[in-house]
Amino acid sequence: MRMSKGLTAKIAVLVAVVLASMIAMGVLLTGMQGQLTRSSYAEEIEYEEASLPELLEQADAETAENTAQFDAIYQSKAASVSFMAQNDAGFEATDAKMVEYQELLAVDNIMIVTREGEIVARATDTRADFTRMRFNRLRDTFDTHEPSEAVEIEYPEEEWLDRYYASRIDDETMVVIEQDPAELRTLVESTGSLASVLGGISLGQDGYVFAVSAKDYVIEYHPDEDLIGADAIDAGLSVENLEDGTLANMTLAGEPLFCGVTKIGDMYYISAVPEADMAASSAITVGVILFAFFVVIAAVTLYGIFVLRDDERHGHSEEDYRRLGPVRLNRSIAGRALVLAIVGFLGILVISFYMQTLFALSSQSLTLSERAESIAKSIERSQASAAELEDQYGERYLSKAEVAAYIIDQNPELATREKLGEMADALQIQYIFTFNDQGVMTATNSSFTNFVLSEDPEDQSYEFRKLLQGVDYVVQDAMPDEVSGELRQYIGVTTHDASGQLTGFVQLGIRPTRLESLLESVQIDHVLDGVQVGADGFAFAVSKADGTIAYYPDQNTTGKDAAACGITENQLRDGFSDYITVNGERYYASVSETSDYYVFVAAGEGALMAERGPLTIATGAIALVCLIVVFALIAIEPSSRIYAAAGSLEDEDRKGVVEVNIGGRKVRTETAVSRWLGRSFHWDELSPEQKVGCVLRWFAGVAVIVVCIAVIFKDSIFDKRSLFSYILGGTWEHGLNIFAITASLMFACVLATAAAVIQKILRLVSRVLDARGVTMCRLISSVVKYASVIGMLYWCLALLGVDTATLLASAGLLTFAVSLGAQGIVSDIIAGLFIIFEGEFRVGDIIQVGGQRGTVMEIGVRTTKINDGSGNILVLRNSNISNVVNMTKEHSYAAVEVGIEYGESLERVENILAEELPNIKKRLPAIIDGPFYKGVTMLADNSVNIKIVAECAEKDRAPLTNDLNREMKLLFDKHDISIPFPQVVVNQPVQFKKATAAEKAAADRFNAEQKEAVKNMVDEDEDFDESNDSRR
Amino acid sequence: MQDITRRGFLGLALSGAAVAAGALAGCTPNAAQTGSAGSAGKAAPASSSDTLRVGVRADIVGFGYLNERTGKYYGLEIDIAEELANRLGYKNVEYMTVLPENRKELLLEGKIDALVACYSIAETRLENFDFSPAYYDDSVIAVVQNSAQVNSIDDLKGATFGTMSGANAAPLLSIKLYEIGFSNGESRSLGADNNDVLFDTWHLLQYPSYQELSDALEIGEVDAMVLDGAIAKTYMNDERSVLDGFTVDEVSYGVATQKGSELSGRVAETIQGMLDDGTIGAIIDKWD
Repeated sequence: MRMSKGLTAKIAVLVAVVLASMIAMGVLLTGMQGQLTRSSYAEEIEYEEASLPELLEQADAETAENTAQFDAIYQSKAASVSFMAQNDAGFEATDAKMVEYQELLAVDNIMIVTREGEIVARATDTRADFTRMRFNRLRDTFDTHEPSEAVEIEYPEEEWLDRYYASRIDDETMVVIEQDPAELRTLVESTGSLASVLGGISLGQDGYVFAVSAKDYVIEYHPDEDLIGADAIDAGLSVENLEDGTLANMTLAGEPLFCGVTKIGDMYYISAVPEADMAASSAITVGVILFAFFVVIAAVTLYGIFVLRDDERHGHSEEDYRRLGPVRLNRSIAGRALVLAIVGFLGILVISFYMQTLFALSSQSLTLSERAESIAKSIERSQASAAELEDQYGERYLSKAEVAAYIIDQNPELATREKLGEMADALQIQYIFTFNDQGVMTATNSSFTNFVLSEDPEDQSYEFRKLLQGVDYVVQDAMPDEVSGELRQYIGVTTHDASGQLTGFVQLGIRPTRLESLLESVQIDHVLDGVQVGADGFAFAVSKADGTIAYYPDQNTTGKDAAACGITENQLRDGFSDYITVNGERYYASVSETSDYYVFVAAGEGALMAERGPLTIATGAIALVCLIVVFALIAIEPSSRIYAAAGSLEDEDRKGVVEVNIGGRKVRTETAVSRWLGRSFHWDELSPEQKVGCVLRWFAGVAVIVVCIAVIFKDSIFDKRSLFSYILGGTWEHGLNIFAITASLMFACVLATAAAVIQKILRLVSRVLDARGVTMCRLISSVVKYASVIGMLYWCLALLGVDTATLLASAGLLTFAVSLGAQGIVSDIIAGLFIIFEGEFRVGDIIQVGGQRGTVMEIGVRTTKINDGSGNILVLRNSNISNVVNMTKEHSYAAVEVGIEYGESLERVENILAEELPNIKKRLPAIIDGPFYKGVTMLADNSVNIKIVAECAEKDRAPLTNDLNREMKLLFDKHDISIPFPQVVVNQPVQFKKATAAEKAAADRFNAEQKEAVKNMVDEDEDFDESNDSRR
Repeated sequence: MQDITRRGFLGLALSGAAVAAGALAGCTPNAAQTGSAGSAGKAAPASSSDTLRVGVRADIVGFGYLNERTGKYYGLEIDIAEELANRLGYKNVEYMTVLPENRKELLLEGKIDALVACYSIAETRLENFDFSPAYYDDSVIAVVQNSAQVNSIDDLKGATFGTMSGANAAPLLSIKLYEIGFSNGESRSLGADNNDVLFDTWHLLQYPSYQELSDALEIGEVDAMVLDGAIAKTYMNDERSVLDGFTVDEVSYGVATQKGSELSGRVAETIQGMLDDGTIGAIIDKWD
């Protein structure tokens, strides 16, 4: 039957409305989500930009400090040569002596140069022309009597990179040291360079800061090394965007970025967040919410359409409508559509809120844990560098001590308080001590006097006794001074006389302030102090050694016991990421572990979490509006329009569908047979409810399969650091949280898909197998089903934080308990579960259990309630339900057997039946098909028994049987066909009427016809024989 | 050529700067050349009507800079040329890299229609070309290494100055030094191609490119480099500074076109229009 024009138009309008609302919802969600993400990133970018100048200043200060340190070393080397020249310590202005000094001082080149710039002596050749004004700075030393500042020449063309230092010898000559500052460059690169500053900044997940020169638009720093040196304009940035304060979308090397620009000095610093980053995370959220919305609105709409179509096909009764002025409400639709809409609306709200939470929490989790990791790494790094620094400083001062020893060797006369003072100034150290070969101090520039090396191994000075026993030098670690508590370091180098005989040693006492400050800078509080995460985030650390808080932004908390502040044992582990409570404040935190500390990075819930409420409400509002429009369209129509009833309500037979009574309401349901056999229906035969159910199942199927595919191919679909990967990665806390629930759902989807696929395959396989194969297939299919359900339960419980080992153990315990006595209840429960899982019968089915027959009212966990038709309710224990006959079949047969007297002509009776059976059908509406004459069933003692059957619904069977009996009696009475009953007959031979030839022929034909008609019909006794399954 | 140049230096001492300026630049064409080149330019049609051929610099960041990877030019002069062509009704702009030593010839020979190449408006140049109103004002400055400890021009007595040959910084410098009484303007010896000129109180070295000039300053071969402020920006670093209180001259960059060509008037008008409506201001701002 074709659809009417009106319905077609209505459907078109509905589809248009659904599409429009989908688009509206999509635009709104993408917009809001995008806006939200953008604003949260904008906030972060703003913060980063604000902190950048300080970072750069720090780096510059670091560079200046490093350069000054480097210069000081070589200045002191130059000064020590001056000292030797001025103090008769074997100085000669010869090339050979210069080579000696070059080795002693470990410099690239050392020269004696006149004030004008003429080179008097040199260790190696130099490219520098000191007569040039370029080197004027070196000549400062003649005026200041101090070593000069450095002059650096960098001429890459000729690979000429050197720093020059001068120190005055007398008014006409100076020492010039030439040194390649490669070491300094490396140090600056790692501490003060743009790369070292910007490399440490991260924005969100994958965001970074890169720098573009404002002079030539060359990219000066970018995390991707290939881009360093590229033209930024060429790479896709536009000149218009490169202005201080810009916040815009840009493209760099083909990657769309959300960028903030800040200009400091001659450099644009661009804080960039990849848009893919922003989009990817929100796309899943938006996608899921949109899908849910689509499912709901499609379900409501389709339901409306199905009902309207159904009405059109089968007609409808006027009582379904309720007039409301010019319009009328289709009550049959309205009720259920309303329920669908309300449930759907709630579903949308829940899903929206859920997804927003998931999105917000997982992105925060990712950000925090990445931050924690990077902090932990930098702590480890700085600890390593501290050790390196100590070595470096030891070496540096050792070299000074060697110079001092060399000078004393050359001129032992210099071992006086005054000269040592001068020497200390030249070497830029605090104290010099000279000792004789007995370990007795002979001279010093310090205030200590009369010092003798201790003979107690516990004392600090004892170690230096080694020098008198053949060791060339001793470098003691820096340690707090016994008196002042200041960090101090002592280094000793032996001295010899001209013949090489040991004369004692020189000892330097150093106050390594620089080392001290460097060591301080790698301390935990120093590292964590500067950490800022988003707007309100911070970092703190818990010491592994004693479980106290090693650093916390709040002074009062630092040093307290972590447990006392609210940090629990299970939070103290690498990779933890969840809510924590510190001093009563709730934070979301991630933990990373270093060798000494647990580093926490904590932040408040963040903007995303704060926004999820309004977002959900907005989503809900749109959904509500859309649903109301759709509802109005399907349930309300103009009063004037009446669909012509196309036929009687009963005109079409629906195969495989029966009407059942549930709670006093008539509901059409699929017959048990067709449920079990997985029989497919013609779409048109389904009721609207079934159709909607079917569509919803499809949607669910699609969703499950999509999730399954996403899980299986996560690596190729999603970025490694995406939210999805995070959820699947399982690094979150196991417990009752949103990640665990999500992961459980995902796992369930995968398992469900896998199980469904296996079952489908088995069903296909079973088609080509023999009976035993089919049995095996069904068995396997059943096993797969239960295994997947049990596996799923087990896995999900594990994810939700249930200790699965305990669970297994408790299963054993359970068995024990069962064996003890609870087994009755347990078996009831299990049997109940099986009934539900296997679908032996459903609520509404008519079943027969152990001789009792009735309609299933309720399947409980322990019992099943059955209405026996006369209002009595049988309560059956589930474990007792066995040998069930499910009578909810397509059709039942009402059968009556009537005896006829032997004398009666069978042909005549058959002719009468042929004439009258159609009339019976007309009189008895319960008859679906028939009645049929089934032939002679028995030649009994007193009668010839014939059987009449009629097809009917199971619920009508009993009354119909009665009706048929009545009809037969009336029929036989009417035609004077006697039904034998025990009686005494006085036999008077009667001439029986003979059948005419025509009657005979007609009777034969009738017989044949009837046989043909009932060929596919089975007797009640044969209900479940193989022939019934033949349609499978 | 050699004669003219020598006379130029003598003339500088005698009467003034104008002639010497052109001579020092080392590429003043003689009258005959000017004539022939000019007529050649007129003979050749300006170009096919929909393409404007512009001579631009390829090495001055912010003004005219060629990215060799893409072959595209960037800078404020490029933007000006683009806008100019647009307003003049050309569909396309064709850029050609010009160097100080060949830009005059290229324009005179009509291989390009206009020069937008940090080309300053100077009297000597006005003889050969038409200039639009100035679109950028700059000054010629001296850059020194900090380590040379030069604080004023007087510290540079006896020092070596470097310029790029082909730019007109050298003549401007000699005039300036003469004017402030730093030098008597007399050249004592002249190297080949005027690249090594010894004056009474200073020494002039000329280099073929700005990079080489900068390198010479780095290694101390020259004590000060004299060049346009706009160009100097590219070569500045922490160890260098602009010599305080010493400006060689103010220069203004204009768009140069062939003397008397029909384009001249329109270009001048258009540039004036772009100055008036703030377009050029915006472009300068953008590239600053």
